[in-house]
Amino acid sequence: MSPERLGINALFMAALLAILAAFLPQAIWPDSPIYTEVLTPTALLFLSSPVKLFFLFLAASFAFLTYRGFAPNNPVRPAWLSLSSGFFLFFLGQAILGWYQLIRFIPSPFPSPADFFFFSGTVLLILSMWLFVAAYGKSGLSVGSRASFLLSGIIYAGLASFLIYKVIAPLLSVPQTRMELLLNLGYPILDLVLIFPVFLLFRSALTMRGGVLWKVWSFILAGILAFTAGDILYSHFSVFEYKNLDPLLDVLYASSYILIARGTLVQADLVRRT
Amino acid sequence: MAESGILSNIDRQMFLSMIESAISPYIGANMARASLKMHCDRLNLFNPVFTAEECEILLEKLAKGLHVFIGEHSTLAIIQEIHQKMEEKGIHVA
Repeated sequence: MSPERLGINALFMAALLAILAAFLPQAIWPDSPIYTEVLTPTALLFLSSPVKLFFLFLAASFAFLTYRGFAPNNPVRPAWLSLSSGFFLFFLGQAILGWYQLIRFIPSPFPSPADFFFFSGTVLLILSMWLFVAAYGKSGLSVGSRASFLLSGIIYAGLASFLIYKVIAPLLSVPQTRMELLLNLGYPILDLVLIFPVFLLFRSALTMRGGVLWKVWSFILAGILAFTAGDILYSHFSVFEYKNLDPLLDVLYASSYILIARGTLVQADLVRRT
Repeated sequence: MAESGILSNIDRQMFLSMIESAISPYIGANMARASLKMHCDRLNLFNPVFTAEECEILLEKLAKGLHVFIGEHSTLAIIQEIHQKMEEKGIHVA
């Protein structure tokens, strides 16, 4: 491995470890002096918000470079463009949250204009995942047996049923404004729709174990699963006002964007190679 | 063996191993093996010996699939690597 590549790997690993080390203990010891005197809520915001912005920007940029790296008639090109656009919309949404939190020093409101970007970004991610499923399925290479895809579908159906029953349905019983209800239900439902093609792609990625494409897809899909978990928990926590679990959300979102940026970088490097 | 001293045929297993070792670092050994088997089945390539033409048809099919995953540049590099190995074995490629 070249020194340059070692340095890049170290940057991603350091960012991930820093986020885990800063936020996870807070979920267990929220009243520790570290969190009341050093890593205060403001200090943590100044850590997490720029990290999220930076890695979302990287993810969008590397996905765009990948899109540009494929020939114009390549069927997978629209999938990478859609993925890049989705992450760029997430970046804009995160920038709006950052404006509230880091510049105006006020908690970001919910709903806010950022939700428009997060919502439409998720729709583009769903589109991109289906475009990947279609392009890879038609590639002529072996991306998994029908039985294995059927099994993925069954596992997904079980997970979705559990989430609908345990997480989404209880949201209906809490008084909320129409907009809050729309978003609190909308995010988890969109995420459920997103997870299905992610499951199918994950099944395909399993057949790539040992290859560089396994790295690409394991990072990207793990990242997407992390933020969908974050969205679902966010809706649940905000409706039921569980405040102490915010650090977990920060870990899920920040690590998600770091993983996705890592995966898209590997793919961008692959398509640019001559 | 042809008059020019260039082989026109190649052992099936040797050729498939050559391809597998070239594409496995990208798509993994499982997918490489399964894809090769799938293409051989579809193209009815079951003879113990492949002609240079059959080799090219198989490579062309694989390249079309690889384009989607790793792009045209990396695919071209892989195909050139395989061609080079074939030349080393004395198999002439167009």
